[in-house]
Amino acid sequence: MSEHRHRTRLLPLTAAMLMLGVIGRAILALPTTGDGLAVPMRAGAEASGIPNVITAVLLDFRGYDTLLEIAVLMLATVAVLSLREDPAALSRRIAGGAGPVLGTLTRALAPIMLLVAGHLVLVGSSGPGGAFQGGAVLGAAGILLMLSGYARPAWASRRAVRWVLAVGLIVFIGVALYPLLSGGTLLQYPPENRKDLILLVEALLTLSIGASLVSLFLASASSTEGGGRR
Amino acid sequence: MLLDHLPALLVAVPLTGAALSFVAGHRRAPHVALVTAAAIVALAVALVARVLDAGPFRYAVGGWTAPLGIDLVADGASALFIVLTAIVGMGVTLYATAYFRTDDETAYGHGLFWTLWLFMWTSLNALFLTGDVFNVYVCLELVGISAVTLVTLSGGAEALRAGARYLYASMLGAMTYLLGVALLYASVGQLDMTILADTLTPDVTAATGLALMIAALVLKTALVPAHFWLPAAHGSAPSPVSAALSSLVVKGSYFVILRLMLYVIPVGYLGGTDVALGVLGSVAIVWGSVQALFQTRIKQLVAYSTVAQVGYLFLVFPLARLGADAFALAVTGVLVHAVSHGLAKAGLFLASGSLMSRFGHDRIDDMRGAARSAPVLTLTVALAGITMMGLPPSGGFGAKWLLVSSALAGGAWWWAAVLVAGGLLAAAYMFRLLAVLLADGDAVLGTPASAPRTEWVPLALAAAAVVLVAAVPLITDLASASNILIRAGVTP
Repeated sequence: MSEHRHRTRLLPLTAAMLMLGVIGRAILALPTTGDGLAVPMRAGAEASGIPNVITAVLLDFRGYDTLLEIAVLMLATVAVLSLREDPAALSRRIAGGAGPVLGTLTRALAPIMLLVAGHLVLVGSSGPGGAFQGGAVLGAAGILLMLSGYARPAWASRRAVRWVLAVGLIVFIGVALYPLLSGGTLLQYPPENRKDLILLVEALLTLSIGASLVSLFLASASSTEGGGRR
Repeated sequence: MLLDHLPALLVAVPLTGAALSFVAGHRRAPHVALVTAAAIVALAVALVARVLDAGPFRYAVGGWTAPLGIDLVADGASALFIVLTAIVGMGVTLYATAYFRTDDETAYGHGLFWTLWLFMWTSLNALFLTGDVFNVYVCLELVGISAVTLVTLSGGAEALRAGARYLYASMLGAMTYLLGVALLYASVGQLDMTILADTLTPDVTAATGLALMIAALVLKTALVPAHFWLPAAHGSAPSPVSAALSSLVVKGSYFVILRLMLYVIPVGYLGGTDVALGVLGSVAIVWGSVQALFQTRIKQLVAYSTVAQVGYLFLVFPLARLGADAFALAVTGVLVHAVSHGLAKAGLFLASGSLMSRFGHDRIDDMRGAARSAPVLTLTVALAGITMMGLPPSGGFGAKWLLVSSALAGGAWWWAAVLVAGGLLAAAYMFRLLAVLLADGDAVLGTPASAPRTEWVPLALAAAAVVLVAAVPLITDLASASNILIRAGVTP
């Protein structure tokens, strides 16, 4: 028995060491110079009018990747929703309400967090920021509101919330297909309103990403209720 | 004009359907899925016509061509896999309307089947069209998460365990693939498959990266010995999901291996990987068939049959190195095999699901006399069996004929021997199942849980696989319109 256990540990260890050796050799063999596509990316970003290279890559050059990643995020939310057995479990747990410290803190923090989320979206085109960062802050604000009892956790099963979760993806697809009407390709924003379209997509994505994060939190929290260790 | 945008629409339409089915609610979601499926079938047929007419074409998303942007590539091979997905997908959608009855309010997850299924369809189409190795990773994530969740929809401890195991295998595959792409990009600085094919020079980092990518995709395609997750996942999923997984999802990652091995990576760049894949494929054929022979539960038998049938897909790699004639025959043969197995296996899994709901259990030995009470389903199993065994005139026969011709044209009879042995082994496990179904006996049938009116769906799929041999000239035309054969400069 113990010998068997010994052997079952040895195999993964050997495999992991072997893998480490192979990857180590590949990394050591890397050339010390080489920028990949960084130089043409930077030149392209300046020409396209989006000075922040990261945003230019995410929403312009490789906007298709981002479109599918947004789909991944919504899919993950749907996946977790499909696994959840008892949508009302968390609301019962939180029904007791929050203590005075959390309540006061949430009242003070929530408006600021909303402001920060909006700011992150707006500055996304020129500096660090954008829908993912804004969505993360928005999601955190939502979770605080849930925990302190200001928002009702049962919301995730409502029809309207499904719209909030999906609106980012739906509008993104719509904006992606819009150029086809005027002879462009998928995601080829027309130059005259490219900035507005990108901002519109980013704003609604922020909303959906925030809602997704809150839903993921609620769903995962309800599944641990059975443990009873609080 | 619209035809130029077919690659974009084949991704955007199912993605829109997925998002809309989520907000439509569980009563209207099936209608959204049916409309979406019909639209995809039309687009897929248009893509085949377009590729046959004008050859392969590229589509620069966002107007940025590679290397800065992502190019979608539509060629004969991608058109073929997309039309296979469209046909099987339509069948699965129709069957699922009865399987996931929307009035069943207790099944919370069932209302989400349609959204998950359309996400999976989106990701398969995207995988067949992408020309960018990083974009493949994003597609693999979408396929993986949707497939794992669909497996767990049947509920119960067995499905959750199988789903968890599938999730770990899937994640390990995705992460290994991403690591491979990172190494490749660090070394070469390119992500577009065509540019990579033109610029790859011998380099240990790039070779390691590509080897990791191939290994990850082999895990996702469930080639022996990386098949450990497949039988449990495909066997315990809801039947429409089993059909889609066995028929389509393993083909998604396989398609990328096909493009990498025969289009991107120069001959000999990864040493003897092509022969090694062929040997593993041969082992899979024998091992999967023998396992299928000893299964006592019907869906486990069908799942192990998939392990065996996946093996054939990997014989193309050693065969493709045996000269121009063998190359063209092997690629055409493996495309015919992919389509015929896709159709037959979807039919077989859906029929098994209907048999299970008719009998109320999945024990093969207690299904005696099914032929009398469920003749349509028994006929479906028989027709699917004809294709699996490779009997004439089925698509399976056409595939094996082409592959054997390829082996003989290349002077390597031993691969032909593997093909013949695989046919015999498939006959063994299919006859075992059929013998029980056709035996005299008074099967006690419960009330069918799924509507019998959907039983013609698996029959149509299995019958399509049998008459597929008539479509071999069409598939040959598509093969010669594939970038793999065009780049190699050979015509079938």
